[in-house]
Amino acid sequence: MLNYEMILSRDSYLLAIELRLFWLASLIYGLALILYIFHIITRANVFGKAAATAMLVGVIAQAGLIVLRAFEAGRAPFQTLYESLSWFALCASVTYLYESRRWKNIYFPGVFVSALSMGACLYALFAGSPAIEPLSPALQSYWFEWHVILAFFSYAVFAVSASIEAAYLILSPFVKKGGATGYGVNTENIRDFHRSAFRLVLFGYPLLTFAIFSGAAWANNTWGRYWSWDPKETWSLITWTVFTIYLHSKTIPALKGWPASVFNIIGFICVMMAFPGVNWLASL
Amino acid sequence: MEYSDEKIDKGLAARLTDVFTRAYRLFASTKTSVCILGLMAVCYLIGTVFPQGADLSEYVKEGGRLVFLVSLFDLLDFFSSPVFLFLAFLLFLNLVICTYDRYPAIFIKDDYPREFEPLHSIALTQDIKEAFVKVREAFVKELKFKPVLSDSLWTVVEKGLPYRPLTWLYHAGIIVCFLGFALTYLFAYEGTVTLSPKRLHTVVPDDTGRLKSLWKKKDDPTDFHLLLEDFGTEYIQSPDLNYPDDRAARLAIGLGWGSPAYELHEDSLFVKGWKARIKVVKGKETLYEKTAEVNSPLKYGGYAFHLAGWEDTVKVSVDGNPILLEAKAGDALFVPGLLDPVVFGDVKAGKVLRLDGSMAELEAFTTVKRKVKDREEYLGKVRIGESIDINGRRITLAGFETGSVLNYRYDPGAGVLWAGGLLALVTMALRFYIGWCMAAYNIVEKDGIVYLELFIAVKGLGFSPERVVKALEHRLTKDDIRPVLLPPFK
Ligand code: HEM
Repeated sequence: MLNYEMILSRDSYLLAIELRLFWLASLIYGLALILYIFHIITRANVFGKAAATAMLVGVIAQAGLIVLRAFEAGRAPFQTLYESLSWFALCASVTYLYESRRWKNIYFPGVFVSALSMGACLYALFAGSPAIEPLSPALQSYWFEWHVILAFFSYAVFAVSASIEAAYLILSPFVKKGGATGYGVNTENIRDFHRSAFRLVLFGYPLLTFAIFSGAAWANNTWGRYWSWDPKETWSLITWTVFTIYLHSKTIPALKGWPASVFNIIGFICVMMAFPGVNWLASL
Repeated sequence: MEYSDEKIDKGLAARLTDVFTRAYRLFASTKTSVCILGLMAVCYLIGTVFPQGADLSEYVKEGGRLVFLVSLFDLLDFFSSPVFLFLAFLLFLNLVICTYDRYPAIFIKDDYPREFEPLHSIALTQDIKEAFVKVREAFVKELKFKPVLSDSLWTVVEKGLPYRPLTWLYHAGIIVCFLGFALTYLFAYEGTVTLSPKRLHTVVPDDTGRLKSLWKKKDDPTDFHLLLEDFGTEYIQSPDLNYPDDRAARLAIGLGWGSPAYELHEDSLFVKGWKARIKVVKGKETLYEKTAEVNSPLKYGGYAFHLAGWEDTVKVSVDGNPILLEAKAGDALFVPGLLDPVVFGDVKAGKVLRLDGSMAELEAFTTVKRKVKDREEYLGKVRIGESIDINGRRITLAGFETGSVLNYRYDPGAGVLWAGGLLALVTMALRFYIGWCMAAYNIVEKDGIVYLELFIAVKGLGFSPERVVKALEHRLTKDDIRPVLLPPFK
């Protein structure tokens, strides 16, 4: 049997490896961001391709990191601020790479996604604690686990949707003037951005709905109250409401164009408020 | 001109009908729901800006300046204010009318046009009759589409789940959720009861829910009693991490300078959970019993009892006196002959899961402090039977008793909410993740070439028009009726 000293040094060693891997993943996302910026400046596909490859390497590093943490903690590693941000970065990058696989030589929206993934990683590393500690009794619940996993997954999907929507809003005027072809975008395929953003919201919306539902079920099971209007809950409800508006606007001919895009971007701002905006406000 | 009473009545009735019809149409519209949802979002936002549950004086003390608005719109308890409740009611009305209005549509078969605007066109080589047979076979046998219209110019086939009933059902689910919220709002109440070991406790509510409170302040005590049979706490040995807060130092660790280190201290004990064996008793009969845990409340008689915490009462003897003094952990105990009161901490007792995975029984101990003015001065630790000397008085820990603190809640809305939520979630997942696909096709001959013209519509994410077209092209090429070399028509 291992003695205490051995256990402590083994755990410290594994954590040191994990932290280095996490920093490495952040740096790779940072590199991807720089390459995407070069692509935007030069319009050269070679930078776009390199950036997408860097993102893929970042994803592999991040996935390895999450597996390592699951092994270290002996539980699903999605519960603390540090862990959930890592999960967010992975989900956002994977969702973007998956969604953009159909596009030929289009890399523009990646600049936002790589910035978000890098930002999430740096926020986790600078503001979160990597300590693996036992969960408090209230947090030892499957409802809570699924709540966090799905909430962050949906936030990541919405973030990617907003990135693509932002690219659509930025590039549309240039496409109309015939100027954005350098980014592989033309009047035919720019509509695909809009459709992609919509499909991502369709994918993320039930996830957020289940996240809110499981959060309420968890609170009800633990404290007996399924809703208490605390700022985090309320912001997630605002986010959900804004995406409901977005989905409805897609069924109204007058709103399904740029107004829907604006609702989508507002939805993303709400995601940022639900997390990490609320934490930031609370610290003021 | 003469007006009869009857005419005036008719005019009024017509106008009322007109107003009613307009209101109905307004509330059956998705545009209205977009507006109301927008207003609701603004209300939620207001609720996050103003501290909910604070009172006006606190608000002013914290520097709040919008006192007039705050008191006019009840902004510190906004989610129970008339403005918010009115808006929530409008949304509910909107949902109900929408759902009622669209009920017939879920049974009506789609009225497809005779002609569609072709979105894709595939060149075929066969003669037009054979093409008809092969294309139909490809859709029905290969791609598993179901024909829904074949006696028109264009043939319509469908696949997936009927999206209208699903959309209708998740809106209906949300209506059920609203009913759950309303029941909670009107009838729910909560309170706290502390169970001491081996004593019967009756729940005596000091509330009765919003609706009943109009005629009755408190609900009746329960006709059953709760009995705490056993209480246990479990701890886990949890090392602390020595890790810097400073950003530069964190970056340095990330780059390989220095390492984080876990350290185990003597009192690195973390509460893993606690359990209470509780019986529900009436007279001599045990009606129900359960070992409740933090995430597993005891439910009985419409109440849910949640383990909120525990309360230790320590029993001490002073200078060997057999008459014991009792004090709750954290409360000041005045010991005769001592100027300053003594404060005992929580008693640490129960099982502990050690770092190496072994289980051990903790030897019960508590901490002793002396309260000097506003400060607490640490004096030491005592186990059962051990003593500590304070200014010449020998204080011995003779024993302790742990009571279970329960939050109870009566909420007839929660079950309704879960039912509605589940309905909404399941139907939404089916509608979004599986979805529906409709394809309409027509086979035409142009300049001696036979073309398959296609129109495809999808709802949800399960089907993609591109994939349907690809699968169809693949099938038709395999059947030798699609030439590989001919260019597409469009
Ligand atoms: C909290 C309230 C509501 C929620 C969460 C909600 C949610 C949704 C969602 C998620 C969609 C799916 C959009 C899509 O399929 O792309 C939708 C569609 C729709 N909603 Fe609502 N809705 C709400 C209230 C209402 C109200 C009050 C109305 C009545 C006007 C309404 C009418 C519709 C209609 C007509 C559709 C389009 C259905 C379709 O195309 O399949 N909804 N709603």
